[in-house]
Amino acid sequence: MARVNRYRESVGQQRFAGEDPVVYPASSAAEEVAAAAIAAERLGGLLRLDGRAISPAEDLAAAELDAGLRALSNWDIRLARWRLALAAGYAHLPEQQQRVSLARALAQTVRDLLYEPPGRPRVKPEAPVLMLLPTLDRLPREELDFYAEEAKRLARLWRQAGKDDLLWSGWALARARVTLRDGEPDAALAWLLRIYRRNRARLPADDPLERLVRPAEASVLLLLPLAEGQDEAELRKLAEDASPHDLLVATVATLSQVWNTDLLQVSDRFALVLFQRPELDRERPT
Amino acid sequence: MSGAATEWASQAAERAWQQLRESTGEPQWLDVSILVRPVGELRPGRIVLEALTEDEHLLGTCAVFNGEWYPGYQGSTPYSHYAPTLYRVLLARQRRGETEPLRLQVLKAVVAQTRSGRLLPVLLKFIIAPEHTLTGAQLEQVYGCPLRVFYTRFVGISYDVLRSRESGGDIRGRAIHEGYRRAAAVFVAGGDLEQARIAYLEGVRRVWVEWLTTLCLKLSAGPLQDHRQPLEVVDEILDYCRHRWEGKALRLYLERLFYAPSRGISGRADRIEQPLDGGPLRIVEIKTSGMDAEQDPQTGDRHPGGLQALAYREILYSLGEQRAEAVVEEIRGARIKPLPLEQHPLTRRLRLDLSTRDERVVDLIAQARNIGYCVSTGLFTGYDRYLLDRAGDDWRLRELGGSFEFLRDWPPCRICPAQHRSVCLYGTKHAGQPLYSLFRYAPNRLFAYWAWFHRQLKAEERASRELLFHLVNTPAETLEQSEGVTIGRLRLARQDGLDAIFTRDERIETRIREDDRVLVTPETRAPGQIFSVEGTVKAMGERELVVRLNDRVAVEETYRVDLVGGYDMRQWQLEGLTDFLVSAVASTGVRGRKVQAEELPRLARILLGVERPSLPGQAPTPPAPDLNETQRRALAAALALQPGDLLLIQGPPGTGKTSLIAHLARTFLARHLFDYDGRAERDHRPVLILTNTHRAADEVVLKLLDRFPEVAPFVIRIGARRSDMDERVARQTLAERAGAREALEQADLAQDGAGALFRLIRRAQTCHDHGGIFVGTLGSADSAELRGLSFELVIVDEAGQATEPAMLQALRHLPPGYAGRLVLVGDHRQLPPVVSDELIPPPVPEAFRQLGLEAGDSLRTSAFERLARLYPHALITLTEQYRMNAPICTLVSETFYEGRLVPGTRTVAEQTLAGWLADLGLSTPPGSVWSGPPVVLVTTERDPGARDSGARFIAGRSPDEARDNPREAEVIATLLGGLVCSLPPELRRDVARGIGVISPYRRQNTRIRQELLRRDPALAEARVDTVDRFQGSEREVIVVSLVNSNDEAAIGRLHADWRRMNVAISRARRALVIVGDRSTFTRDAGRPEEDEARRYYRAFFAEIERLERQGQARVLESQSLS
Repeated sequence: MARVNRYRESVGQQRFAGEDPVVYPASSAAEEVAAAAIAAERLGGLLRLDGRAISPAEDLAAAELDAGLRALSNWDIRLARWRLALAAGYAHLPEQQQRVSLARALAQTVRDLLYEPPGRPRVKPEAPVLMLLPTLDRLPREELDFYAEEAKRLARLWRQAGKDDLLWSGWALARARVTLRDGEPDAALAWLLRIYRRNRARLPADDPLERLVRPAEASVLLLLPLAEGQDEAELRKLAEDASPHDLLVATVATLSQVWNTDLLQVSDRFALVLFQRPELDRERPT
Repeated sequence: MSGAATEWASQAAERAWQQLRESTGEPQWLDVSILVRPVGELRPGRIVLEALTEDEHLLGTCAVFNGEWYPGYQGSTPYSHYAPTLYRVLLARQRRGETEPLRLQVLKAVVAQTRSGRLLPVLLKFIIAPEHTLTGAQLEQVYGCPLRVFYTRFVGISYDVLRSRESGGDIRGRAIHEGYRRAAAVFVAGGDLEQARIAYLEGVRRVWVEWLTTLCLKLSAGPLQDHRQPLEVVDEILDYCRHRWEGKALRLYLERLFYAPSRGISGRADRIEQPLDGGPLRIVEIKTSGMDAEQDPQTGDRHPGGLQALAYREILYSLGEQRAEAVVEEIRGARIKPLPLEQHPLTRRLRLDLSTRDERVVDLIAQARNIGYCVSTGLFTGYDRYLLDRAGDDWRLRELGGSFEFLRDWPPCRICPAQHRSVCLYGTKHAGQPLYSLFRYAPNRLFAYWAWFHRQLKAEERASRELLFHLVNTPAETLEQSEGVTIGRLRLARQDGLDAIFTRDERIETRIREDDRVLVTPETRAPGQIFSVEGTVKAMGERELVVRLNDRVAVEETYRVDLVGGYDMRQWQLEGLTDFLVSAVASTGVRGRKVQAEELPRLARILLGVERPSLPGQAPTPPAPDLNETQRRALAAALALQPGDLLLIQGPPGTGKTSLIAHLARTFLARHLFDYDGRAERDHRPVLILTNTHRAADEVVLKLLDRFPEVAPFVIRIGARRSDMDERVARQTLAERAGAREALEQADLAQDGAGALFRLIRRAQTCHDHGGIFVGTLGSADSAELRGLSFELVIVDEAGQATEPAMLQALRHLPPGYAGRLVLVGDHRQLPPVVSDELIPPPVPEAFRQLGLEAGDSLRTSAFERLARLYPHALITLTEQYRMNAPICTLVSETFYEGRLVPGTRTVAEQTLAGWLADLGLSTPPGSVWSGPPVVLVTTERDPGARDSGARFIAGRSPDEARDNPREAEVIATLLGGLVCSLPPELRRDVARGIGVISPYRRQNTRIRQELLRRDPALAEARVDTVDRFQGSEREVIVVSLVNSNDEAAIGRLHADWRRMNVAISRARRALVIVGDRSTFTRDAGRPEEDEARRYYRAFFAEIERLERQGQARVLESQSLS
């Protein structure tokens, strides 16, 4: 490791001075080559071996890109950005670099889609992707066309959600799922209550969600000054039963019945669909 | 730090360390300066340091932990920036190979007991490198968005000048500030409200005239009401003045620079009020715009200027003014709202207690100062392309650990150039195609080129940022005697308006000269305290100094004057350089991957040595009988240029560069007008001429007007009227073309000010719309006149004197993708660019040979010189000159131009001093040196009295040899006295105006001036100056004083650049006299760095001897003249 650190330190120093050096093993001894290769991989740099420049971290770039895209398709923007920043640091092949850049633009699109209120004027979630696509000259047309369509589809859906209660509920459900996944149960409860309010008029008279909604409302009411006649102890007791997870499950089940369509699927329509290469015969051993 | 300051600081540190040890476990407020060095491997989170006093006496080992933790402390401070920022600074210094200790102003520390029982001093709060000064406005920017500070202050990203901007500076605010300042000064001085009103309106008028061009651009974007405000608020301001100051005895300090060396911050508060009854000082920051306003979350009110006012208060506090109050005076509409700092949203949202010494105030200032320092100096990222790209991932730069959560929820992207240029990812939402990973994806050669020049510009900036600290911490005697940057013991003889005349009994020996920016301070204070006034030196005498001040000074016992440097040109050079990086990459149209150098626009490829420019073509030229053959060839080549191509024209002295430029501009204008097919866009114009100096720009305008009067309506001189501008040139500025001065002077501003302004703006816009030839300096590329305009042809005059980043400014106004023509006109055998004396040439990587750079090159190597080396085939040299007679021309030509330079006409070749005097009705004094051959060498080799004084101001930050040679001065005075004193008194001045005396040393020039005046007052008309200031001028008679004459054969740094000698002797038209010690310049001194210069000097003196043999020169002993 001392050897690896020596390489890293020397490359770090040269980089700080503005050079973008490749790592040269000090000798052809196996341990030197190994140390140089490890350092190059950790630094995301190139390794010069037998007169050729090798990018030992290119597979890491691919892995990080893949992880970043998967995170994006799960609406995990922060994780996606982190992964994609790593991928950008590792990638040296032009095609890989452009794919990472495209993923970063997609991250912006997904961020806008998720965090901007649907249909908000002057917001164009598809813009980052559509602006970038014509400049990506190393990616297959098929892939570019796919993401152009995908960005437009998501943006269209998001705009429609501003006017359509079902789509809005699907979008809000995505927000609830994201906050629940990120370990913020109170925020998830708030989103689920918003979905409930928006759909209350459509619920049957025996309101199947009421048993779960009341504890959720109690936990929100406790944040506000108490109205006349409200008993804090009673509210506190009621709030103990608030369960965002149960409310989520029940909301999906109830509203799916009410709308006669699977609300989870509606919510999933807001997820980014990733481009897949269907031709398996293209796969070649590396 | 040096002398007594070091001793005092060291003792204070020793005492503080002792105090710490005596109160183990209890954090102490110290406020002392120490030096530190990292010990062992540098690790984030736990930094071990060796602490030293200022005189490098060891204090012991100490540590810094994350979160201001120390052993035994049961808590931590989240978001503490101290340890992470110090770590980044130390790491960067390690990577740069800097080994000298780092200075810390330790504010708070503790001695803690470790588990093993050892006592360990732990530093908790500190200012990193307080010698580096940031301004209050910069601190405010850090809180606005630290990432923006990184992009604008370090990287140098600026707006795209090809895109019109909605706002061009806050003219409204400037007008109110200027008016208010004048009104306040007049009212406090005399208590007369009517006079104050007149002063206010005059202030507004001056700002409007000065900024008229910007106003023209704003009109389309901003409502006219915007300009009414300065007139609407006048009554309120006067009322406010009366209400606050009527009958009160107080003194106002207006826009004074003040500085806290222990905090590393400086500022210019709009106003400081000092009650003469001894009440507390009151700092007033006036704000007319709420762009960066802090919002009070409870009331929803927004108020700007809080952090600035807090920083200024802290400066005064650190200077001992602990009762100082701070107020933000906000001007909204026609009302003034004074808001004491205690009630400001900044104070309220951070719950600062200003009635006590609240540590959070210092924390707030220290955080902005330390992070601002780390980021703007490049210590945060260096030139690591990975780090440069990663910095943009997070606008709060969380790696530095700062706390920004109470200040802003989102950065002010609307006013950030990095957003407009699509470099900042936070800004890409509203901008064009984002430039992902700009630094990593830029071609290697382009990035290396950028980083190499960038580093040099930042090194220059660093020196200027440390200047104030140096002045405050160095004894005045050292500054005066060893460095020549201070003049002490001055008495205020009188004040005429803002001109102050200072005198002293002793002779003034200094390197300060006319046009230098200085700081005038009572000697009882240190420079940069509120009693310092900034000013510009207007005149220097033997015992007298005239300074144009920014504010009147009070009568004090004695004053000191300190040199604070000239106009800072680094920021715009940085912006030109970075614009090249960004524009070149952006215009490839490729995104998201590494760009290859071959994909860059053609002109960028040429500049980077990737592709050769075309061979000069030959397009048909219009008849130009006043041009010679080489000029016509250059004109034809320039007309044949295709978009994206480059042409270099070398113009040795007197070869008619300016005439050629005038022809070129006029021909392009005609082509543009007559070939116009109605499709060209309104913002696409024919010719832009940018020069290195205002003087050269003025000459181009004059040449155009003289030679082609018909183009006058199309010529616009960029910028405002200057005092040294020729009247005809001044009339070509946009404000003058629109008649701004007269229109505003005749208008009754109080009644119809806005209407008059509106009509004026309309007139100016019409003039601007017709502009076809724009002439300005390289620094004006971002000026309002040029904003949004691109040009078919951009000509850079004096390109040999412009630094490469300065030259790149010219590229900013070529059409997108650099699809225009670039012509560089200059002479790399004359003076190179002026850069700081401290600049140490950085290593030139081997790969830079492809760029035409060689070992020893630096920012001093102009783009013209580099490209002339790289592309000799694209260089056309003008060889016929119209200044020097044949013998002088031969001397210049044979020594410096391989014999290629010849007189352009027989008349020029045969012109003599006698002929000139005869034209004035005079004759040459018989039997004098003036009656012989036109080239005279007066050698002092055998004159024992003619030895130079030795180097004088070689200490300090910017060494200046400042030699003089009294005997040479006497010889010159004798020679010129012999010429002038023999003439009739009424004609002496006319003759003296035709004389120039040149030496490289200012000190020698002062001495020569004094000697000349002793001989005859008429000789005051002779111009005595340095070579650097003489370039571009000429005289009938030139006398050169070499000065250096010593046993060590020391020719000094200035003579070591042989190009100075070329410039000096080629100023002469009819007679040239060189006075000096030949052997000092020609014998071998064993200094390899002077070898090249000595070769030229040997050739120079040998050529004089050859001319002597031909009877065209004469060599005399200096003793023979006395």
